Amino acid sequence: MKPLVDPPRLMDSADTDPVLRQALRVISKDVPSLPALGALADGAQRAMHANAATKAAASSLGAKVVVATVVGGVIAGVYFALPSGTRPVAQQHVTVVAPRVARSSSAAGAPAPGPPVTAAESRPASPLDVAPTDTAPSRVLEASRAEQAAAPELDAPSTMGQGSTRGPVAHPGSEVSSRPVRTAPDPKAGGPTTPAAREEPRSEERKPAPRPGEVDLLEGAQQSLSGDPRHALELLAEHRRTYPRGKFAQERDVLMLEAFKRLHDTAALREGARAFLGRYPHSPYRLRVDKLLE
Amino acid sequence: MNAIAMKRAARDPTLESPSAPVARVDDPAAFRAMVLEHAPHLRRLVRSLGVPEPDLDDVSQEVFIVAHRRLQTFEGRSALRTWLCGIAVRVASDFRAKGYRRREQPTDNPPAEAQNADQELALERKRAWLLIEGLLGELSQEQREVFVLYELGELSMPEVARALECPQPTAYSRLYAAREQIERRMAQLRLTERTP
Repeated sequence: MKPLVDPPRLMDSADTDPVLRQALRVISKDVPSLPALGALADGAQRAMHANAATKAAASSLGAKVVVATVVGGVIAGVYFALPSGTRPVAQQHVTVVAPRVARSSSAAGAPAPGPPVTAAESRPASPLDVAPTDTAPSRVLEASRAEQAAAPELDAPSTMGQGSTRGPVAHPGSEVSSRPVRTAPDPKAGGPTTPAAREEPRSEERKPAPRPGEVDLLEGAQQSLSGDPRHALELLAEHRRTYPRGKFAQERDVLMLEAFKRLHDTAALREGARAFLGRYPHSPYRLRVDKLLE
Repeated sequence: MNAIAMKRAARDPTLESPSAPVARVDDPAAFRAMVLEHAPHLRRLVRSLGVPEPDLDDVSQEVFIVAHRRLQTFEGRSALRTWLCGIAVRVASDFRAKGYRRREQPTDNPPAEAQNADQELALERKRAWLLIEGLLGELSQEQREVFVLYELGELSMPEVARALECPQPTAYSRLYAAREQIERRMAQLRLTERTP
């Protein structure tokens, strides 16, 4: 049995094979160039801002949706009533419709852009933002957001919503609809849903973002933890189903325990805590879990 | 997001207040400074954990994004560096598990360092990586993580154990096992070199 003391590092030890020692030394000093690091820092920040901007756009749209809920709610209802398997059809619909609209707009000459804009602005938001009204679709919504997010798209749900609603509505040859970026809430977040468009410049800064659906679920849970722990628990259960081995599995389990605590479900709390500490005996959250048990 | 964390901490006394790094990361300049400080060793770390060169930027970037998201749950119980290393190990292992590869093949822009660094040094670096990557590739995942974090990551063994969330004795035994394996391999290499 070797002692539990840090041995000299191989690169510092005279006993190390010289070739190996030299290689380790070279590598340990191998630093990427400063410009590369700067780009890395900027890239990380851009990716995080893109994420935040999408969310901000979604919530600002939420206000408009209150007005449009009557119209939008119906459409959202129909949308979510579809079995999940058929949803991608709606998405394909956009890709088919968009070119057709573009062509008809060039044929129709100068259109009246007014009405289609409002239609496109208010309705498409509904599938995404009806959720906060805390009605039944919200869970489905989270699920679908999570599904969407599993593909590395941040804005897929919103553009998908636009497609499914705009399809039947926006065809009167408006040139506005042929430029979906203008009608979208956020020039960054919106955009056509065609596969080609996805690979356009933005993909570079967006791709590295870890699946936002996972984070969205946890943030949603975190926000409703104090007000509506039961809802938080639902979101967390959703997270567990969708991302059983997610990067935030520990965070999720801790939030679950906190929800149990708030619901005064002592039995579930104790059992969950025991399982957690068994699974992650050296978790950085150990202290927090211990505190919950007090 | 950090606003949420703070609000939450304010109304939830059972939570630790967000520790210093949260404030640091809220400030873009400070965040940049943090990336500049930690990126070199994290980049080395993910590379030696088996992330291929063209994916290094993406993966290191993801490490910082994950770190930024998780800062609200970072309790300051370990050093920021240790904590970041733990995240890097998880992101790198996630990367390998997904078998994720970049869609674009970045071939037209040679890395900046290759352009201006002197050729000999570049060659030496390349050789070193080749050797080490070969050696590391023969270790088990667990051994590799411990070995890399200790031998290249400049963490102490207790920190390695914390970053990997494993008991210290486990970390030590993995390190020694990894060293033995690597020494054996080096001995073989020496032998084959001497007998042409």
